[in-house]
Amino acid sequence: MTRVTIIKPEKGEGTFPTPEVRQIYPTRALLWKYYLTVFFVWAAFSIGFISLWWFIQFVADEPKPTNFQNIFTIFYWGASITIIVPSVILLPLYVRRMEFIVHGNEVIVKKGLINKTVKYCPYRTVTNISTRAGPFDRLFGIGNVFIQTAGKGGATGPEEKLEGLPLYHEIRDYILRQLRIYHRSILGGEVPSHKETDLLTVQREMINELREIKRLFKQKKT
Amino acid sequence: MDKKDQILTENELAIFNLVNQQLSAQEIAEKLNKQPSYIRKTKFVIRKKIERELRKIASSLRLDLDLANIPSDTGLLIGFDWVHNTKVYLIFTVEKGIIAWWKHDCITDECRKRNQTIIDLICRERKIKLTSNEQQLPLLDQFEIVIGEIQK
Repeated sequence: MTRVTIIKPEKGEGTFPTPEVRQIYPTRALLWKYYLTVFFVWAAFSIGFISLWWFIQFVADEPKPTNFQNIFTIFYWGASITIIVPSVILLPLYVRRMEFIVHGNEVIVKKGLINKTVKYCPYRTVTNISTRAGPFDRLFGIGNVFIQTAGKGGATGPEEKLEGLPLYHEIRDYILRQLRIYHRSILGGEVPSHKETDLLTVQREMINELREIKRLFKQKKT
Repeated sequence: MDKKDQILTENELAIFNLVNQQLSAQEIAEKLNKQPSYIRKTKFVIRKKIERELRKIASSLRLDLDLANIPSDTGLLIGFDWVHNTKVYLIFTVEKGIIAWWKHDCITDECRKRNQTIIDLICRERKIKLTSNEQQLPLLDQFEIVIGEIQK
């Protein structure tokens, strides 16, 4: 294992300058996931088509029309090309044009190839954040972050979908932290610093407190 | 550094150090009595080895890699740590292995001292010279200058 020297300030040693805007792009793994999905759609279509062919062969009365097989083959390849060719050409462009921007008070999702959509999702409307990694996502080591808003609700699906992210848990936690900071600032409460929201710091503080309690107990006993 | 911790072999390290002195493949070949084609090939191997290690470390530290900002052969990788919401620089050094530096402002003297040691080490290994004016700047700015020099 390579030697790694970590230079990170401990609690109270330094502060992290935080960027106000963070742009996120999906990884190339998302493209491979889409390709795999297209392949499965094509495979399912082929199996269905071949099954239908066999079924027709089985039940059809003799003699069959002479060009029956040709029509069937042309239709099959036509449909296959319609599925595969646009996917191969358009999917890379679609993935390349995806962009997610996380601001101090909103999330912006830019998507689309023919219809370019820019969705603004202000934190004041966010009701729920969730992550999902399906079998294909896990295969390529990516996941999705879903943001539901008060306007749409869960019945119609999430309003915003941040796809193809390898660090989707971290991004979800980051958005949640931003949300908490935003809500506290709106409610007039104290805005938590990053150090306060750091789970490890909180855990360390808890351990220190417990140690102190233990020490006091021991002192009382003696 | 322990031999098993080393990313590069002795031969590769010698070439890496000469590359850092801005020498061309021809000049390095003359210095080491080797063929320029051998130097070029080794440079490629060095680059690949360092890049692979940097990516491995970035993955283990759960860093989001900014692919647009990855210089191919400088032994530097820039990532983003979502937990601390800051940039992380992964720099390959011969002496200390890979340095993972979280972009931060120092408050304590201990932190300043540690950062200064790292800056000095990188400058020494990469043959970077900071001017007296640059040395007066805060450590964060000095580090940014050093990173800029590495990226050049």
